[in-house]
Amino acid sequence: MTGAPAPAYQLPSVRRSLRLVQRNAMAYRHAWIAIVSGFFEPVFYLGAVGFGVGQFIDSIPYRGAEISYASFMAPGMLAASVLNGALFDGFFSPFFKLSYEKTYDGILTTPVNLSDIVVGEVMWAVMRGTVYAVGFLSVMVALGLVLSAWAVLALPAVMLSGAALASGAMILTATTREISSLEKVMTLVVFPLFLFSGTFYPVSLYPDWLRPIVQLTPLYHSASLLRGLTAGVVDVSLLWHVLYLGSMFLVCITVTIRLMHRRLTD
Amino acid sequence: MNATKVVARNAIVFWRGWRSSIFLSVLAPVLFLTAMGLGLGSLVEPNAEAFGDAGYLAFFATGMLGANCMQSGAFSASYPMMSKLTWERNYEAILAAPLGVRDIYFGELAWIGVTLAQQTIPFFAIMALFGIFDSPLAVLAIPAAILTGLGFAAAVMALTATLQTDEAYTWLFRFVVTPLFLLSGTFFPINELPAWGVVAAQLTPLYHGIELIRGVTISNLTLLAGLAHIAYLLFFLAAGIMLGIRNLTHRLVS
Repeated sequence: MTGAPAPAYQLPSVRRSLRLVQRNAMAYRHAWIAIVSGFFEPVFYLGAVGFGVGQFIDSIPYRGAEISYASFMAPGMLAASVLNGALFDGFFSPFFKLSYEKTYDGILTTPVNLSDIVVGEVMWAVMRGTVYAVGFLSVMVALGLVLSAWAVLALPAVMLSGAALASGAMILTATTREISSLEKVMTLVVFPLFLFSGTFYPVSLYPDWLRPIVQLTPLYHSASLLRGLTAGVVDVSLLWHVLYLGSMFLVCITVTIRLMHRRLTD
Repeated sequence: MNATKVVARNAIVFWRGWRSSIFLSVLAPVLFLTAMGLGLGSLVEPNAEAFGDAGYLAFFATGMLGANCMQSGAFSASYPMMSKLTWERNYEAILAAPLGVRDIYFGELAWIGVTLAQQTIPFFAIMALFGIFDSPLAVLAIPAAILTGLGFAAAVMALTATLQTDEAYTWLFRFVVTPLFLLSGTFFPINELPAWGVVAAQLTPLYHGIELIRGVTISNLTLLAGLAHIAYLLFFLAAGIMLGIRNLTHRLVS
């Protein structure tokens, strides 16, 4: 490879990427239960921790307001479910397609190129995440946990979070070769993110050395953005989260396309 | 008994990746303990008496000890066993050796018991470091947790023996294991549930496992109540074993 000109990557097209989305939708027709059931996990957590433990918590100070514990942690669960979905659709499922089922090898013999595949997988992840978010936000409205009309913007915020997190997960797909790495990623990356991103309680409770680290993680930005919108504490600082997630999406999807090219052409 | 040969086989396979396996299986509960026990614990502090004299961290940690064994036992009896039964067909290969279905069954169950111990003992040690226990009797929480996990393992093994695909596991983990984990008294006392919820929770094996663990560690348990919990868990395990052997024999021999 040394000395060779940098390979020219084919640009993705929306039309071709949608073919991959269509393929995923068809492949899931018989496993719809796997999709529907994913909606329930954050709802169970909301019930058990948000209300179960939350009844012993008087109220949570949140950026100058006092809100109930359930309305504090519900947007955290929404962000966590976006992360779960992004991980499943951006890492686990593409990992099996890439390493075991050789789905992409088959797709690449068609006019759909590798960039289309990456973009298509992320689009699929975003669509599925949006469906969950609509469900979860409805539950939040029904339980009185949405405190402001700003919450309508939570949907585009979920889509942005999903795109950023799924693109990040696709980097793992492009770099992972061992199935045992899935467990390591879950325990060393996902689980700490789930627990320590300001999802369950305010980051002000963390020790001083930990707080800046938490504030660098994508789930923290996603959860903070969603919480600002559902709790209705909206100011210019929310744009910082939007900027973080938008940049993460652009950087990660570019890196993923490069890594996937390298992986499938070496 | 020939079942030891199946245990030895699994031990050899496990040996190759044991370092990361042990590390990961201890790390997850420690993270949970820190995030929930300490983090949430500080939020419920003003109302901590609802969780008993020992405080929220101790309440949650003892619940996690049992819940962790349930999840781990149920998981070990699902995908890994389906792989050996259906995908890799290891059991058919083992049956060609002078070993029978019961040897495979008890070998697998015993091995799950070993992995449960391998996770429970370090977790217990970490809880001791957090200063949760004040009596040597607390060591009894280890067998109590393993017994709970084995009961779930046996029940899921009985299910696995009847399955051709792994689709049912999505149902099992999302609609049985996770709700049990969240609502059987791990996070908050079940008497905070509505009346029908209390009755439902008391019927679950996880509730009895956790009550037993809490009884020997942080709360006072009468001997009679303790024996009742043990009897329930043994019955759950025995029923799972009987059903499991029946289903596995049906699957592999006929």
